[in-house]
Amino acid sequence: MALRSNKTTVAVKTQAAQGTFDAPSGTTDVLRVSNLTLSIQGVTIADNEYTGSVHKNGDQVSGKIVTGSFSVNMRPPGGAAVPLADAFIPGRLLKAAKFTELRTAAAIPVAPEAVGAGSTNRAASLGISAAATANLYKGMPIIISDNGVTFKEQLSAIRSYTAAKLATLAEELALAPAANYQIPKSLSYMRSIDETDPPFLSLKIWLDGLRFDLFDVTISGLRWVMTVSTDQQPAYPVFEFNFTAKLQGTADEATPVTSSLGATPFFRDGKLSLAYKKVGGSNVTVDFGLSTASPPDPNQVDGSGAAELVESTTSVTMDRRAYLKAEFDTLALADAQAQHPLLAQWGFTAGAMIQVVIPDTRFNYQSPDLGGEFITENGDLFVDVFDRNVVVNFVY
Amino acid sequence: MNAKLPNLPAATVDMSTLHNALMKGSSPEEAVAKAVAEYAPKPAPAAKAPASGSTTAKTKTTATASAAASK
Repeated sequence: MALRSNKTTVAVKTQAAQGTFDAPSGTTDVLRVSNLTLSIQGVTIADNEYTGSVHKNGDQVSGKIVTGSFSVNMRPPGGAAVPLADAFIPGRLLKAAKFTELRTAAAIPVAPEAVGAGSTNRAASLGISAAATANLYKGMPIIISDNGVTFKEQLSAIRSYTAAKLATLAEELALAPAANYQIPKSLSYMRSIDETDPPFLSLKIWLDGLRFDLFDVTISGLRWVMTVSTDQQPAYPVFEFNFTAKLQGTADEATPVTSSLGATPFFRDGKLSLAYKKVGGSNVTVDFGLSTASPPDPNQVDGSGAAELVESTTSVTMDRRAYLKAEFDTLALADAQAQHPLLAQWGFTAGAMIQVVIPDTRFNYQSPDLGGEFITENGDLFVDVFDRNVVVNFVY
Repeated sequence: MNAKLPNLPAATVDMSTLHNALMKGSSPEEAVAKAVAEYAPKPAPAAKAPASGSTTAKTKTTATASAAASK
């Protein structure tokens, strides 16, 4: 039988230490992916020695570079309880891309609590059960009980938090909160900017019975592509990963079958707010601009150590509706170069909700695009180096 | 006291531990350390101490002390 593409499975495990393959399980560590590529490229050098004739020898092969890519649907972990630490397998990939996994297994406070005085359309003053530590709840979800009726209406996100317990929101509400608030259970992945190095991963990739074992896997590219599903064209919101790795070996082993993980929520029937304006558009893409490099090391088989993350510059591109100047003046926003929040939120109900929060982003100049039926604006948003500057929340 | 949370590491952080530690008066740095330690790999259990009266342990200690004194 020929090898068939659909019989592909990936398993992922966080490595305990650099340089040692930790075999992922073919049952408990498997991950559903799409658009997988795997490249084993020879590292060659031209043979420059004279041969005494007009002919030259072929290139010398010095080693190999293993790289690849795949997409993972932005699907919530599911279940009623927040997964245990390191149990959500796409989260292992995000942690390897220098994200904090923030596990909020119980709501804060356990029962909804009245907001304090001083709340506005863009901020909720939290009550006595909230801690008075600045930045503590930054990027986290929050339920505002009088902001609509349904869970997804009441759900918002915290842009910043002060020691005076004022939680600035990532969107503007119709009314200032005057009833209860609660920070719900969630599993969050928040960009980390501290000095800790992200962990390495071990991967098994089965291609219809042919298994590749990879170790010292480093995430070398990461994009979150959130395409809006319309009545004309649905699309899956995805995490796109690129990786570099070292090859442990290959073996013949039947590909594990992955069970159904349930529906992936479409990016629609939710919220897209930028600079406190609900905006329409067809796509939001966050590119983390990762750059990796392998340090020279003659102690290693191929003369290089494992690839390490050496740089990251995050930017956001949007395909967004154009607005009148009086409604949303993006030219003035780019002129001012101030920081503004972005909130993208979608999903069904508690346990199946996704939020992407960028607490602070700056506008580049935006160009009008008349290529379609509607005038849109294309252009980058810049994200500066702040702790938790990009966050994805899976909310329960 | 620094009332601002430090930057979070690329590790798993337990929000309940972090929140509770802060509410009980821990500094933000201490609270983050506790919240990270919640999921950090646990060190292997220490070797069991020899039972009292073990001559082997006593002999080793004596030998080491003697060797150090002779230098």
